Formats: sequence, structure tokens, C-alpha cells
Amino acid sequence: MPGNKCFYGFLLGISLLATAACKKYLPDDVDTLSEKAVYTTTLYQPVLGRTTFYPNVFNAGQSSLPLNFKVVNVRTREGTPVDIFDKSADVLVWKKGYTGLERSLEEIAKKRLVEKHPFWEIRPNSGEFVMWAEAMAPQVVSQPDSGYLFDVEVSNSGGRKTFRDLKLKPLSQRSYEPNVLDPVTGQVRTDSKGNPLYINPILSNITGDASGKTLTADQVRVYFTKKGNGNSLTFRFYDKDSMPINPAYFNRTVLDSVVHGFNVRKTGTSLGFDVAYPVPLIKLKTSYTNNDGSQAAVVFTYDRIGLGGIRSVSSLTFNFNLFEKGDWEIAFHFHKENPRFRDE
Amino acid sequence: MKYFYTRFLPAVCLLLACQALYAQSKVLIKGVVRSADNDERLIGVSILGGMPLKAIGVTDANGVFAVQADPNLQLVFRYVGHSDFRIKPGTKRDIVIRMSASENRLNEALIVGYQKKTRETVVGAAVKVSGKDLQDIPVSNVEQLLQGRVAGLNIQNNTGAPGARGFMQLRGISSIGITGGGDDAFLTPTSPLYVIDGVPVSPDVGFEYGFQSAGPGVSPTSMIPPEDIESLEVLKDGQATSLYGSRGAYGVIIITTKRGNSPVPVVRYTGNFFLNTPPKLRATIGGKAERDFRLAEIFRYGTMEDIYNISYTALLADSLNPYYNNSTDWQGVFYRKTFNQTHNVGISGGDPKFNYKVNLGYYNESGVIKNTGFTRYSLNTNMEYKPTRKLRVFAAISTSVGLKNKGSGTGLLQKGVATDGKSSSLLPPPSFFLSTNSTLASLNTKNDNKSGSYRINLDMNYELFNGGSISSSLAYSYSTNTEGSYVPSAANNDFSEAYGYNDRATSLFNRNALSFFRKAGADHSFGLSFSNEIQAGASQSASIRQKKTPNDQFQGPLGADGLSSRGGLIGYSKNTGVSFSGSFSYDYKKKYIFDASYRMDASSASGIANRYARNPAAGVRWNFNKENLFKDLSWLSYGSVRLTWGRNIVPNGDIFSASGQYELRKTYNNVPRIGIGFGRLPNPNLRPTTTTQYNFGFETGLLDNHVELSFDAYYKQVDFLTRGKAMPDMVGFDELLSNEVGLVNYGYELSLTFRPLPKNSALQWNFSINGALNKDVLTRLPGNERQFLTADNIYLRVGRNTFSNYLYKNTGVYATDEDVPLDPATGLYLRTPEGVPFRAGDARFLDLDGNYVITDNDRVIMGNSMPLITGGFNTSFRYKNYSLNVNGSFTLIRDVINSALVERMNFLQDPHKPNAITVLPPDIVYWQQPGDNASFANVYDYKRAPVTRPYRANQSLFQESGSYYKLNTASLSYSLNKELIKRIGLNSVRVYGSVNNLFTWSKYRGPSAENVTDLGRDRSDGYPTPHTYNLGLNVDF
Repeated sequence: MPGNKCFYGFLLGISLLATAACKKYLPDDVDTLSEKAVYTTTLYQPVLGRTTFYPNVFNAGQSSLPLNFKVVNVRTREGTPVDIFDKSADVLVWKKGYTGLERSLEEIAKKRLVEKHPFWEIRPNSGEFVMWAEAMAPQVVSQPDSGYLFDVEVSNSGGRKTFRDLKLKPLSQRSYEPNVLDPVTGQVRTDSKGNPLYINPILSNITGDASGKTLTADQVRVYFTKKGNGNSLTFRFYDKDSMPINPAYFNRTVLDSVVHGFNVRKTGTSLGFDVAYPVPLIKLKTSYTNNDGSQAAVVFTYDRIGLGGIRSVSSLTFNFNLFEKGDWEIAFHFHKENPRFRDE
Repeated sequence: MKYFYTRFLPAVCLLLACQALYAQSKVLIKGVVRSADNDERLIGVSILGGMPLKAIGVTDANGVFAVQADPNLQLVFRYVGHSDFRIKPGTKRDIVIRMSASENRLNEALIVGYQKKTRETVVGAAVKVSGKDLQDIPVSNVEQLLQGRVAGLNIQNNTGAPGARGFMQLRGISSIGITGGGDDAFLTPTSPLYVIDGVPVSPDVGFEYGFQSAGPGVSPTSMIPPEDIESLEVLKDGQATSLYGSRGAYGVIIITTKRGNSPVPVVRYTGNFFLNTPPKLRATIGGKAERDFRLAEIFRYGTMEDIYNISYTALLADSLNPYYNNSTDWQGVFYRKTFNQTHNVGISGGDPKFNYKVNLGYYNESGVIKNTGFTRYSLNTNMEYKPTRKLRVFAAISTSVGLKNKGSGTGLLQKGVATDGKSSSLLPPPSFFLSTNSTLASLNTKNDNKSGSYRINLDMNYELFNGGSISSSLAYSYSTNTEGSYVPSAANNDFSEAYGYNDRATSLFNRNALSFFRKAGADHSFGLSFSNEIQAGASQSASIRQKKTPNDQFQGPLGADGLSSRGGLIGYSKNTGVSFSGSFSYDYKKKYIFDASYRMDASSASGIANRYARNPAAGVRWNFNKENLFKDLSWLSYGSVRLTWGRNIVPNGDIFSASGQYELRKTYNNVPRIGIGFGRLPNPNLRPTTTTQYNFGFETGLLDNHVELSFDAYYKQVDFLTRGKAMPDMVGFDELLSNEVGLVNYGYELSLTFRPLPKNSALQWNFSINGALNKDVLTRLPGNERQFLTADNIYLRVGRNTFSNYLYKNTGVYATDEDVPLDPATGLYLRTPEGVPFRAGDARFLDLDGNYVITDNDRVIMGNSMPLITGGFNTSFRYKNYSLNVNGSFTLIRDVINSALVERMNFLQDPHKPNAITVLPPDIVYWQQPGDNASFANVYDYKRAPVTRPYRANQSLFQESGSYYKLNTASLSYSLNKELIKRIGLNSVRVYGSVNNLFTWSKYRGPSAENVTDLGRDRSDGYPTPHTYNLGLNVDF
């Protein structure tokens, strides 16, 4: 019966239509982009030559996650478009986790690979920034230049929003920390009297040979010197006459835990290692770093028989970072007075 | 032509002559008409005979008839709700007719808007469940038996507490109100309104506050003995419920109790003797095995300090101390099997002029948790008196008393039992002086909880003239709940405690109606009715709590200073309401039916600006099988299409939400201060919640009703739901109660009934199945927000199902260290907010924002705690004296958070702590060594687990499918041979055996996919649903 079929078709049609109509008038399941979402940091001053990571710079408020972030419209203060951040460059990235237990430079090298990344990179879903170590002058200008302005476009299915005029003002390259260089001018800073500042290590219980008094930290100066483009780090010690001190005097130094280096070269004047740069490689607490893993920690220790026949343990500790690859030398200069190594 | 005259005419003449002859050969035929189902005599059965058919008589008050009829022609017996019975008496002069109930749904009598109608003329969506289907299974609450019987009525029996009620929802969610947080969160109950013999009763009373409700926790529906229910009807759409006003916004369930209709008084006894057994409990490790297990865990994963601590943990070290040298089955201490019984005596009798019924019921159920139980005594009686054709008086009195023992729990929850049931097996079993406080409290708390409910109603109907009548009904109900509990000092830190609670609620209901009915010509009929209702209700509740009684023997009278004696009025309400309604109906040859109604409700609780809530509704029905086009189709028994629209308006808030509140503050210079309450800013513009519902229905019966189908599609829109809106700090008030929330439910309901065997075969088989698909969508949030995070892990998001879970997405376990994502810039592994890197064996959580830190921002909106599909099936076989009924239900596509499993996992995290060590479900594969592909992190590595929290509850690993198929009830009955029974003076004897909550199929890993909260949280401290095995007896005297 054809009429019948029509009728059932009509019923089916009504129910399908009703469903379709329902769906059409119901709101879509779309994300929220909160009006209160905000960049909590708007001025970025990374030091060139170091991989700098800016975590937690964006507060998403009540927005639905994940959000999509994009850096757009990078320009100079004057408004001239800049394209060097649009291009990708070769940067060294971590592929496997560094543990501090690696046994050779090759093993460490295997954990890092060269990849293409923009110098000033935004994490696509968290809005956090990375300035890669490979970004350096002259490609990237640094202060005192007024730096760059850029916008960040944030979007999800609920809409899009542009955060305008975020500032990127890189600081010029400083290869090591601690240092006494002015971040902007790169000149050695001076104290209020005009005397240049020096880097000092931490001394513990080191007695001056001449005075018999405990040496203070300002009586030892630290000098960083880059000697070549290799992969080594050498420690030297000088007395008040600028004559080398034999590292062997630091008789209780545990050579394996001075730095994460290999092929120890011990001479009468120096102590050298092959190391991977930067030092330390990542911010992870290992036996070669300080407590939070932010800096390499070298400790040179010696002991002697002190007054009253008591064994006296003395040490020189120095926490530092080296960001630039090269054959670096770190020299400790006891410029006022020599340390006393002899027994009493 | 010649042929015509010569052959045909004489034949016609002859035939006519024959007829004349036959007419003269009428004889007296006598007999009695009984119901085939229960053997009761049927009164007022029409007897038709002759050719063509015409009425020749009716049965009298004893079901007896005597007619003059031709024995060679068919006699037709016709009775409401029964199939026509045809017989050719032949030589018989005294016959017994047994009429069976009609299986044509179209002839069902339904009560819609206080009026009785046949289904043929009802435009709304309504389902009727016969009281017969609700017998044979002893339950404390008849709602349990409705599970899976009505498409669109979602019932989850999520508590086994005797006398409590589960979760009930008609056509999806109607409220987004959530109280409590975490696993304690529960949805504001929106149960349908019950109308018992014409008197509205709200079932949510006492359950507004969820798990922690004060009072005995006896549901009003637990007070109705199932044996006394004649029929139960569920009205689903906006049109059908519109005449019940605001209170019917969540649907209406009409309960009609039994009436007397037998001239010989019938005394019917029903007794059930049943065994309740607790469901399968957790498997645990006991005794030495438990100690060895703990030690092995410590030695393998613990630190040196943990190993030292063994010596300081007597539970582990002091194995020779009898206190710690046990293997106690703690679950056995609390859970038990119980034997229970129910008795019910119904006495009924009378004829259409005067009939009466008395039902006496006793129900006793001891809970499967010790020290809990429910006892109900009920006495229900009604009588109907029709002195003249015009006047009808109906009066009913029903009283019931419920006694409940809830141990130390709140009735729904048994926290004490749940905690102690999970104690270490090494601890000694409880004795009065050697146990924990809560154990003693669970077992020794003395409870005396009473619920009384008394209801009187009087119903009068007078026919003014033919087609016009006036009716009035008056009902008064009074209910009271008291609770008294006493905790002995040994169970309560050496200070005994007495607690008393009492409440009472009264309600007066009066309804007057004027109705007209007129037939214009043969085809048009009109109906018009007006009514008004007045209701007044008041309730108050108070409690007293006295700590530090003199001793355990002296339990009252008590009194002390305000420090140790606390209490007072904890709840008070009084409200009155008045409503007016009118309805109009029209039908043309019962083919096209149109109904419209309008009701206005005023309540003392609603604001002055919005005093009246207006509920309009309209609907049409087209019985298309009566069209000429379909008239000749032999396979189409009936068919109709319905379309309705209805709007229901519920006033919101109370006097405080519109006008604000003053609060009593502390004193200043000994003068009490009164100040403005800064909790909630008053909102004078509060609008009532509006529910608009469209319903499209299609019903058909095919192949002589061997197949019946009913399909409904609906769209239900709920607007102006209330929700607090947080205010900015500078406003001074915390929040504003706004009603800007909207949601939509739409779905389909399908019911199918098959009767595959011929109608007169000896074996009768009936199979029906129903299912409902309901989708809910949140359409609006306060302030036009698109999303909102509520209690712990529940997300409200516009455009999505109303309640989503907000969870960490777990995709397994890191097999090796190298699988853990590594930040290419910093060289650090994915880590916790505290900075601990993940490693092999840790749970693999999705890092949604890609910042290599797993924080709260990485949670994902997923899941739906409301079931998408619910339904059930029913099948019954009847062969001679045997009958078998099986009923099942299913709930499909629902997400449940398995908090119970989380808890078991967490018990393994502290081997020094005296918790039960449970055996993990067999399908749990956990990580043991690098390279293992597992879905669970190492459960036993208790040192690592607190660091990366692989067993946090709010993760997708524990969001499991809550789908289940359940075989609810089965009963097999046998009616003893009548001849045999008659000899010992009984009318009928039926014995039966039945089971309840027989079996559940589910992939769910927890104890039960059904015994979870309405928001899909599996609390492990709920009350388990017992299995029931019953033997019953039914005797008619």
C-alpha cells in the first residue's frame, strides 16, 4: 500500500526533522577564552648566548585549555618589521635526559641533537617563551638597543585575542656567571670608589701562610679565560707572586666530582678536563652542582695538621656557569697571601 | 433475472421465516461471569446477543446473569478492560464465563488531570503499570520494582538501605543543583510527584539534604504496601502533567489503591518469607598472610627508616601479642544474612453501590548491615458509596508507621561500618571493651526511629444533570518522624551521647471541580471542566543532642547547661497555595482529539511580583486507524499519532532570596546585635523556573495486538534554573541567587510488546521491552559564562552534557625512562608541580598545555555521569496453573568514577597503617620493571606513589563505563487446584518463589555499577543492595 509507506515515511521524517531542529537551536560546544586571560610578564630580557626559558608567564584565567599561541608582528621600537625571529635556525636541543652519570663526551653528545627552531620561540599551547642559546649578536641586537616589540595571538574554538606590545630586550652576551660585567655596557663594574670588582670564591678554613689568619673570600680572585674553541676546562691556582700553585696541594680533592668532565689532565700547574658545554648542562642537581643544580660547584680541599695537632680541613668552593663552548681556564689567584699547606 | 425471482426471493422469505422461528425459540440462559485472572465475579458485564447485536442484559451484583437468548446464536460478553468473550451456548443453559483482561492498550483506563479517560482519548504520554506486576517481590519501597518498566523513567536503586529510596528521574535532569563536594556531591532530587488516590504527595520530603539528611530517612513511598496497589501510572509529558501544576514539573506518578468489588467479602492473605544476602564483598588478605604481605612490601620498596619503623609498629612486629595475632573477617562482623517476613491481609467486598476495602500490612526487613533494619505497619482502608445514580462518595484512611534502625550511619550512608569494615585483619574482633569507638558505635548505637504517616481523604461527586457534575475532595495528611539514638560511653570517647530528633508535617488539600460533557450529534463531543485547589502545609523539625549523660544506664530524662546540651528548632516552613485550572477537550468520532488546559498556581513562597505561575498546555491526537484509508487493513489493530505542548512553571526561591535576611550577631555591651546577612544579595527579579516540553508520540497495535509499539520523541527545555553567582569583592555580599541557567533534554522512548502465541493457546507468553535515549545539553550559565567548574571535578559547560567530569587523562604507564617527554630547551623530564621528574613506572598523564609540568591545568573535560540509555524488559509465561515472570533492566553509556578502587589502591600505600589489604581485581596489570606495558603504576611501590600520585582519584583511569544489564526479579508461581482448595474452604491458594536483584552483568571493576551516587561516584561507604530470595503464599478465603 503506497499511501501507507508515505505515511510511515512522513512519521520518520518528522522525528528526524525534530532532532535536527533541536540540534540546530542548541548552543555549540565551544571553548571559552576568558577576558581575564593575561600575560603576567610583558618585558623579557634574556641574556644572549644562553638558553633562557620563561615558565608560567601566561595566566589563562577561566579559559578552556589548551590554547593556541603564536608570536606575530615582531618589530623594532620604531615599528620596522623584523624577520629574524620568523626564520628557524639550528639549535642544540635535548633529546634524552641528562643524568649526570654519563661516562664520555660522546654519550652526552648523543643526547643532544641539532634541530631547527626560531630563536625566540613560543610554546604553542602554554604560551611560554624560549630564547635559544644560538641567538647572538649581531643577528640579534642587545641592550642598549631598545630591542623588539611583538604581539601574541591566543586562540581556541571560543575565539581569539591578541596581546599587544610585549617587549623583548635582550642583554648582551656574557659567557660565564658569576661575572663583574655590566649587563648593558659589558664593561667591568666598579665599586663606589672606582676600584674594579672581582669574582671571589667561597673559602673555608684556609689559613694565610704569612699571617696565620684565616683568609677571607676577597683575598682570592677568580679569572675566566677562553683559550681556544675546544671542549675543555682547566683550573689553575696562583700565589701572591702570581706563581702557579701545584693543584696536588689540594690533596683531598675528589677529582671525579670536581666537574662532570673526562680525561683528567693533572700537571704541576693545572688540572684539566674535557667537558661538554654549557656547564652545568641543565638545571639538575648532580654531584657536580650546587644544591638546586643551577650552577656547577667545584670544591678543592686539603688537610693538614693544625694547631694542637688537630687535623684541619680547608676548602675552596666556587659555583659558576659557563655558557660558551671553548677551552676555558679558571684561575684562582691568592693575591694577598698564600694559603698555608704545611702542617703546624 | 428470472433466476433471481425463482430462487433468491423464496430463499430470502425462508430465511426471514426462520428468523421469526428462531425468535420464538429463545430460552433462559443463566450463568456467572468471573475474571479469568483472579476468579472474582464481574459486575455489570454487558451481554449482547441477537442478529444484529443488541444488549440483552447485564450481570448483577453477584456477577450472575439470566438472559433470554437463542442458544444457537453467539452471545457476546463485553466488559471494560476485558476482551470480548463470545460463546454459542448450544445445549448449555448454565454457563460460567471467565473473561480475561484485554491486552489492547488502547482500552486502558488512564487518569490524566484527575479525570479518568480511555487511552484512546489521551493526548499526553502516559504509561500504566498494573499492580499485579508489582507483587510477589518483597521490597520496602515499591519504586524499586518500577525499574526498567517505564521507558524514560530512570531508576537507580543505589542504596540497599531498608526503607530508603534510590535515585529517580523522569526524562533526564531538571536541575543543576549540586550539594556537597567530591564523592559526597549529589544532585538536588527532582522526583516525580506522587498522587495517591487523588492526593498529591511529594516523595522528596526528608531527602532535600542528600546523604546527611536529618531524621529517620524513611521515604514517603516506603510507607505504601505494594500489595495494596491496584495500578500505577506515570505521566511523562508537559500536557499530561499540566493539570497537576508546579509540583508536577518533574512528572507525575499516580497510584491507585485497591477497591472492593465482590459481593462476597474476599479475604486475601499474602505472606512473604525472604532471605537477604549481602552482595559479594571485597576479597581481603587475612592473618599471617597479611603481615607477610606488609613486611614484603616494606622490605622491597621501603627506606631504611621504614624498616626500622617495623620495630615500632606493634601490628607488624608484635606477632605473638594476642591483640595483633588475629585473622578477623571485618566485613563478616558487619554484614550478615537476614531472614525477613511480610504479611498482608486485604479484606474487600461490596458492589458498585457500596464497596469497601481494608488492607493490613506488616513488613519487616533487617538490613544486611548489622544494627539496621526497617519495619512497617500499615492500615489502609477505603470505601465507596453510591446511594443514587447521581451521588458518589469515596473515603479513604491510610495510616502507616515505619520503624527504622540505622545503626551509626545516616540511613543512606554507613561511614562507620565502611571505615571499620576495612580494618586490618590482624586486629581483634570487636568486643565491648576491646574495639574502636566507631565499631562499637556501629554495633551498639541504640536507635529508635519512627515515621508515622496518616492520610484521610474524602471525595464526593454529584451529577447535576446529564453531562454536568460537581465534585469535591478533601484530604488531610499528617506525618511525623522521630529519631532517638543513644551511644554508650565506651563507643564515644568515654562520653555517652543521646540524640533526639522530631519533626512533623501537615498538609491540607482541597479540590473542587465542575465538569461538563456534551455530545453534539453523533460525532462531536465536548468536555469542559473548571477546578480550584487549596493547599496548606506546615512542617517543623527540631533536635536535641546531649553529651555526657551521668552513665550508660541513665538515658533520660536529661538536661544540662548549654555546653553539653545542644538543640532547638532546625527547620520550619509554612506555606499555602491556591490554584485555578480549566480544561477543554473535543473529539470528533474519537478520531481527532484536541485537549487544552490552563492552570494558575499561587504560592505564599513566591514573590509578590510573580504571584501566579501559569501552566498552559495543549495537545492533539489522531487515531488514524479510524480513517477509511486504514479501516480495511486487517493487520492494523489500532494506530495513533499524538502531538503535545505544555509549559510548567515552578516558583523559585523563598522570602529571603527576594528580600534579604537579617542575622543575629554576637552581643555588644550585652546587647544582641542584628545585622544584614552578607551571604546572599537579595534578588527581587527572581523568575520562576520554566519547563517547556514538546512531545510527539506514535502508538500502534499490529496483527490483532500480537505486536504493540509505542514511540515518543520529546524535547524538554528548562529555563531560569537558579544558581548562585559569585559577586565581586567590593559588593560586600558573597553571591547573588540568579536564575540564568538553562538546559535541554531531548530523547526518544520506545516500548514494544510481543504476544507471539495465539490468544487461546494454553501457554501464554508475553514479552515487552522498552528503552529510552536521553541527551541533555546545558544551554546557559549565569552571566552568560560558557563554562564553570563546580564541586571538585564536575564541569558545567554550555553546549555539552550538563555534568562532565574534569579529569587528568591517563594513557597508561611509562614503560621506560625514555618514554617520558623531555623538554628540549631545559633538558628536564616531565615533572610534577613540585619538580619531581616522572620516570618509568609512573602514570602517563596527558600534558595538555605542553609545559612539561603536570598541573591542574592539564585536566580534560570528559565523560557524562548521566546515563544515555535506560530501559528494561519484562517477560511472562503462563501455562495452566504455573506462571513465570522475569524482569530486567539496563543502563547504558554512563561514566562512573570508581572511587572504591582508588581507595583500595591507596590502602596499599601505607603498609604500617592498620587498613585492610584487599586483593586487587584480576584484570589489573601493574608495572613492575622497565619495559612493562601496564595500565596501572606499581601499586606496591608506596614510596614513589605519594610523589607522582599515580592513584589520584580524578583521572580517566578510574572513569569506567557504568553500563550494566541487570536481571532484577524473577518469580515462579503455582496456583493450587481449585477443586482441591474448595474442599478445605479456601477460594484460591497460590505459592510462589521469587528473587530480587539476581544478577548484574557489567564490565565495571567496582562492586556495583548501579550502587553509585547520582553523579556517578562510587562511594565505598554506601549501603550495599542485597540479593533477595523469597518464598511467598497467597491465600483467598
